Amino acid sequence: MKSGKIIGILLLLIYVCVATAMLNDAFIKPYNLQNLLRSSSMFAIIGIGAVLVIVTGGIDLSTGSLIGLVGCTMTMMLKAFKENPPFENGAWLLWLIGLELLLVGIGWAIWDQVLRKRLGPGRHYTGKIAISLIGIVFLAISLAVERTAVGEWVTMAAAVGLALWLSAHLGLLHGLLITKLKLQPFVVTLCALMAYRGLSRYLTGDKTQGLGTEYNDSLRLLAIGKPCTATAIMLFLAVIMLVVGIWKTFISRRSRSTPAQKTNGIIILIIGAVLACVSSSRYWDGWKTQFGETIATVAGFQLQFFSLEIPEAAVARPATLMAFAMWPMLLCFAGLAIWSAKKSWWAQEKSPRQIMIWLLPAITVAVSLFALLMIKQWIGDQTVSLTDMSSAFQGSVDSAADDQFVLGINVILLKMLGIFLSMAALFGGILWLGKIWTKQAGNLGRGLWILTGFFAVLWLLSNTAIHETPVQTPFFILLIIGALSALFLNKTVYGRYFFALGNNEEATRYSGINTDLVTIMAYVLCALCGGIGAVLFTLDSNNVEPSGHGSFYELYAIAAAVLGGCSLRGGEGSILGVIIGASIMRVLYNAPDMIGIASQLEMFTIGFVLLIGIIVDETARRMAANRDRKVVAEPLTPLTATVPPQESA
Amino acid sequence: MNRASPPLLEANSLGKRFPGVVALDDVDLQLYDAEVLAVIGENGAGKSTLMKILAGIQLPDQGQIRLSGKETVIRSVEQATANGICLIHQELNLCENLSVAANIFLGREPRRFGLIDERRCLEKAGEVLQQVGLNLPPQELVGSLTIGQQQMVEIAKAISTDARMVIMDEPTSSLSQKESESLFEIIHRLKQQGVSIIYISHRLGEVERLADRVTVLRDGKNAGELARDEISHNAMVERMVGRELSNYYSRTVTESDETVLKISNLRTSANPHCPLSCEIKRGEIVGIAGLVGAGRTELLTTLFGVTPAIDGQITVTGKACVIDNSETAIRHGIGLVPEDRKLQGIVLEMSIRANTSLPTLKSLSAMGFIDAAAERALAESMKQRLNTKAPHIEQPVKFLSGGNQQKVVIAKWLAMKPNILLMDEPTRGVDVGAKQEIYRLMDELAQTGVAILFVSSDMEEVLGMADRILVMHEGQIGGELHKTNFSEESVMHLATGGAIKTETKIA
Repeated sequence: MKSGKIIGILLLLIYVCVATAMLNDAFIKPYNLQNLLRSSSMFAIIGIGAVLVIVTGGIDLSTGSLIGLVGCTMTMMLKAFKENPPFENGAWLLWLIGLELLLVGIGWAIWDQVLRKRLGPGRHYTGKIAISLIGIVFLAISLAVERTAVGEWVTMAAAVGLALWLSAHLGLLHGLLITKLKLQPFVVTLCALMAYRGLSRYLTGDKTQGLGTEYNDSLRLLAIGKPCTATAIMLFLAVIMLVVGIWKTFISRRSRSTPAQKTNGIIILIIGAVLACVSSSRYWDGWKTQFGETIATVAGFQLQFFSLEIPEAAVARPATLMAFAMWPMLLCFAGLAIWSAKKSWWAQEKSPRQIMIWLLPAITVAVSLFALLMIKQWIGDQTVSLTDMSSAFQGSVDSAADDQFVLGINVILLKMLGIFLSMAALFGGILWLGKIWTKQAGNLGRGLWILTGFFAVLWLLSNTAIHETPVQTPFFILLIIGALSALFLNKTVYGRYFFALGNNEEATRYSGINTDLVTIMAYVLCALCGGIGAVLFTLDSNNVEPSGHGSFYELYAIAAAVLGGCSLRGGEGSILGVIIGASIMRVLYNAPDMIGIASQLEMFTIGFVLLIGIIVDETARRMAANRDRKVVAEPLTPLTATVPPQESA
Repeated sequence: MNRASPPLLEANSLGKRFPGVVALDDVDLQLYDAEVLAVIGENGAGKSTLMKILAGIQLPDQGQIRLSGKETVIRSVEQATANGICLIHQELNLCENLSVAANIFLGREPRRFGLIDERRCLEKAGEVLQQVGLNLPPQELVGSLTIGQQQMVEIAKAISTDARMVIMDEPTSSLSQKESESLFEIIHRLKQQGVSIIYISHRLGEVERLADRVTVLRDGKNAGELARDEISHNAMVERMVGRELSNYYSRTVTESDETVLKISNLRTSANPHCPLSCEIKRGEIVGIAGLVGAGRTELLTTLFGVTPAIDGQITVTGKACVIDNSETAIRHGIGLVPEDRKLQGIVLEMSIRANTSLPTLKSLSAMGFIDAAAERALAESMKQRLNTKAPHIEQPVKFLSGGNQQKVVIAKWLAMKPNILLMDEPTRGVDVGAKQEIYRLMDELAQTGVAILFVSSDMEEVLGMADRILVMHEGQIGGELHKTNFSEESVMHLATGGAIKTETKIA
């Protein structure tokens, strides 16, 4: 996976956010952001499942229906465990699942060791032992529950356990059909798509299944709990980036690390530092812990989320910092313009194309400086101090700002800033795509775009009340699943096999790899991600409509995967990409509503924007390929007219 | 050959650059009426690029092309076809789901009232097939033909466009000896009909037989031209590599009595009625010769477990074992360098590192996590040992030349320290330099005790490298030849179904 593509879609996400926020600042109000984060996380989870299958060269169309079926089953089980005495507390289900896992693990090992022993030495037992251990854990839990009977959380665990168990087995079924009967993945999962939908309607008698208010303080916290605010997450992210940045630049002394990798380390370090400053600035007056919602009462002990209280004075600080950051940014642009001038003006021959490349950033800088001068003119004698500017930025968030004058500047400044940002972004974008012209233009444009992107992030941060935006539990579940699956794909043996299988199934088989096992694994993991998604979607919406719950979600997942850099031919894909892709999908779903486009058009917008994105990507790639051909052709000597005399026979 | 008139095709100082590579640099080429011009050179010497330019697939960056003395810019394949130039690619470009006739006239179907005139199509296809000596009903599906027959269909397709210049890019690489012979006949016939042929091949024996003139390319430049009476194996090799190759086939035989692989009454799924038996000793190199379709590849894939055997016994180092998939074969120390490199040998998009470690990845890992340092060290040591030419081990193998790709495939199996190495056409599409290195490597491996069983359609190679030759014919092992009675005739005799004449054979 090329990092360029990830940066590209990340910038796309940022620009869509900035544009929407500029048109309607309700977009970055805490309530909207909270919802966006939650739904993006849930879609990213099922998107990760789609990536795992697409990387192996397959496809899973059944995710949406699976979400419906698993959702229905889970709500029905919750009810059944509660109401029917024989099903009481559902511990028996955990017991069954544990037994199955244990038997599979042990049976597999015996099969290898005894029945297929003559096949030769060299078996690996890690997987089998792990499966058996998980089984034992489940058995132990169920037995402990029988003894102590600690309350209704067992019931809930059993229902969730059933949901995941069911989805994993449906995935296993898909995998077996695809590998053992050699059916096409598209067909198998298409049949599953229809079958599961019908099944969930039949099981529920087409009645909507509701959870009521019963689980609001317990199970539903998995989907709607608010463990902390966005500030804490950003601080966390900043710390991680600082650590990674320091590791890459200073500590890691791999002889292989190229200058580019070193630069990446420095960039990560800088971004981490800025994030750390901006997000931690709100806590500079000291920490104060506060207990929040109760998650659950386990054996008389209350589990609570905790949050941090932010002192009033610290609220506006990020905006001030941001105002400080703006000037170095402008200097950066100027520097960039001079650098590019030096590269493309003095060093090269002066073709109109080169002049254009030199002019564009210069125009950008000139226009933005002019804009700032205009503001100064506008205000007249009043000098704009940095504090004024910061409160001006803050103004868009804090609508209660009563100072009319400051509000006036706020509007002008925001407009100017908008003009500046969009112009720089536009030129940057054109130049980046302008790889069609020369390589330098492409690099210059990319630099410009990344810088404006960085600027845009700062703008977004200072305008968003991140300290009031709760981050909900699905985001943390996503973090765990994302980290695990990224580790799996990039660092483990089977992850490597996934990529190899997607690229060239035949060669993978000729390398002695059990391709059937790898394929089945992909479908099980995909369905498992779908199952986790199903649990979250059900708990989030609180009631499940059998005929509509989760329909089209498989397409969202696949679209997010494709947007995130997956090739449907297989062998290509990344977890970070799909997470960003899913976020773009959700923002595109949300944005038309915010801007005031008819809500009937929201699907149209998503489809249209995706199509444009893919066209631009493909065209730019092809044009760049053409440019490579032309550029290398240029320096060659012109055609010679001399023909060597012909030897006679 | 009329040399007084301007040549049929004349290319002057052609140049072509790709990012980072100069593919062609100031290359001249002349092709006269009714002659066979062989263009030879190592892989990457620029032959393919030159041919693509002549066939209109690529435009040259500099230089000019004259057709019968008239300067022409060939911008597209259509234009090349209109000028009577036709390129037959090394890889076949046929639609397997269509009939022979439909393939021949693809894009130029005879029409009647706007619909395809099926009857005329079949008639004309039949004529052309006659011309190339292929006795097949034109309705036959291309997918059901052998590779050799498909090659003939390609040639028929070229002839049907009334081409005056036919470019053949390694036409015999997938043909058996017999099929090659009939191809040579067709080339002669075409020549008599006044068609000029540019013939590209790595098999210098063929060039020696066929060519009227040889143009040698080296590193994108002209490296000499040989007239009919100058053509000899050594002269060509000398010009191709720029130096003389000593000991092209290097083989030091080490005797051993220990049998590593023994098969008895093995029946493959492709030829279930022919039980196969043979033995291979430690450090022995055994060649399998035979015509394409004689079941040679199937024997290897069965031994490797890709197409499990129906019946019979395989004994590896004295222990009977069941090999029903490639995983078990590998566990018994068997490796296979497959026939189709790009399809079965390597994962094109992945790096040299990832390809090298693919079969041995599990032993390079702890708790399922790959030990990146060990993996890199393995790839690096293999790259050095095999002298793979690539800037670094992170290079995707799709950017390597055929010879270097083959080295990566061999590296995969060396990494697991095999007992038995099966090689299917180990040097197909590999240039002279890399070929010699692969031969050296095979010898080296055999000396360390690895038993090598290789299939080859290149007679010289089989005779040069093998200690013993098994000749297959229609699914059976038709005979066995020992070093003392190696000869091209005896191999051909057995391959075409003849009985063994010499009685001295089995020791």
